[in-house]
Amino acid sequence: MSDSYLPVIPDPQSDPERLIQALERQAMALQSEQEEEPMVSLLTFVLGAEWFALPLDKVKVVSRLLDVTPVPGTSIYVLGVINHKSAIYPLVDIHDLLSLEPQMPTRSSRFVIIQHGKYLFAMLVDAMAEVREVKTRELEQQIRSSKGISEFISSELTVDRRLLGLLNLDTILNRVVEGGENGAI
Amino acid sequence: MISREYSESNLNRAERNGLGLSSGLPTMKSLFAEGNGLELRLETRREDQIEIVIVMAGHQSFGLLLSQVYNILRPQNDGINVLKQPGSAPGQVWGSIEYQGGELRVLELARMLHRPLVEPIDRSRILLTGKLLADGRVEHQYGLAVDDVLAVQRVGMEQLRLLPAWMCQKKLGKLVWGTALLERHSLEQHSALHQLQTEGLLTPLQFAIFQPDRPKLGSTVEALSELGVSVGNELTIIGANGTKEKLKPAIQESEFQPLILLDLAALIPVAYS
Repeated sequence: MSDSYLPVIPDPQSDPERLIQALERQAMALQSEQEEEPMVSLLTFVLGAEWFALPLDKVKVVSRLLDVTPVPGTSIYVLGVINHKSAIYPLVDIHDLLSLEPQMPTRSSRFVIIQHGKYLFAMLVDAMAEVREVKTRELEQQIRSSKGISEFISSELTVDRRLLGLLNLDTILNRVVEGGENGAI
Repeated sequence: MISREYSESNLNRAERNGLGLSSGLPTMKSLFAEGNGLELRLETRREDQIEIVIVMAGHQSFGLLLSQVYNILRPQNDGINVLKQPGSAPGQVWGSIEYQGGELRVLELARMLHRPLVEPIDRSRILLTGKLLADGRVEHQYGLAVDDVLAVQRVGMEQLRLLPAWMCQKKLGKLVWGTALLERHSLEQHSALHQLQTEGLLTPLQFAIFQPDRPKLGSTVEALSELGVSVGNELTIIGANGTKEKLKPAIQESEFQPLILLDLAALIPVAYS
């Protein structure tokens, strides 16, 4: 930290002009320090008994459970389609993909509507947790130092002593799209 | 010769049979008008609408383009002779009936879609479909056996939603081309099971196109009920607290329900395999 970051002790005898300038320098230094530390927001949620996270900028809406209409012939990971405010979204369940015990939907279950590239879909999660602000630098360090436990988890993060799996939407969606047919002629 | 005119006759026939022809015209109530006791009705032009036949297959309703349906047969009343049962040869999924002096192949929609099979009742129907040629003839004609024909309904273009291409790229997925958002109550009112329960129409249908491995309808409803599964398209909500007590469903019911729309032309290769 440079000298300009040192707190200025107001000296009532000093020139008010110089005092104001020193305070302004201090405020600007503090602001630039904050700007150098960009934050990323993560939406954390529960699947099975484990915690996972997604960048918040991928999440459009979190909705309570809606009626699900089954669609014949689509991927085995697609439960059907939902109607959310007159838009139709495929509903994806990734419990099986992540080798997690399938859960019966409860009052805590939610649909998370996600936009990832050209894919717009809803994902069934067992419970929502919270949105956590994480310093991008720290997140990147953790991602570099941690190898994903599976191809569907890009890294394991520790946020406030909680272990989170950061979902790899690319590989998840590839598998969902290629996944076997839920019924064939 | 079978022509497109059958569609109009089907409409009239549907009305005569009490299947319920609803206009499906979208309405919009103006907030201003409501206060004055007036209703502003926006009607979609007829040419901007499609006509769909709503059918039941394995506890789920599906929409078929009326323009692809040339006739509707009632197996129990129309004196239809079964020529071949499905599965009479290895890998053969179709059966066949005698129709207009020839053999007509028939597919079961519920079996094609891998939906739960229910015992056929006297509301089961066979829809005639195929590829309509420019000269009015129908090529590759086949029959499609469904559990019930619920209604013929006009749907405005603004009610239609296409599905993402990646959902429908597989073999069976090509049969699905989109969804129509229909008012929930219109589908519920047309539910065959609702009618069965209220009218006591539990008459089984003996017709060999429907294979004998189908469970009894009454036992199916009972078994689903015991499992806490409501017959319909809803998710089952069961409490996660270890007790047997079931939580009240937390499902938000939207006013409009997606109806899966099927392209019957996609089944022609199956019927002629």
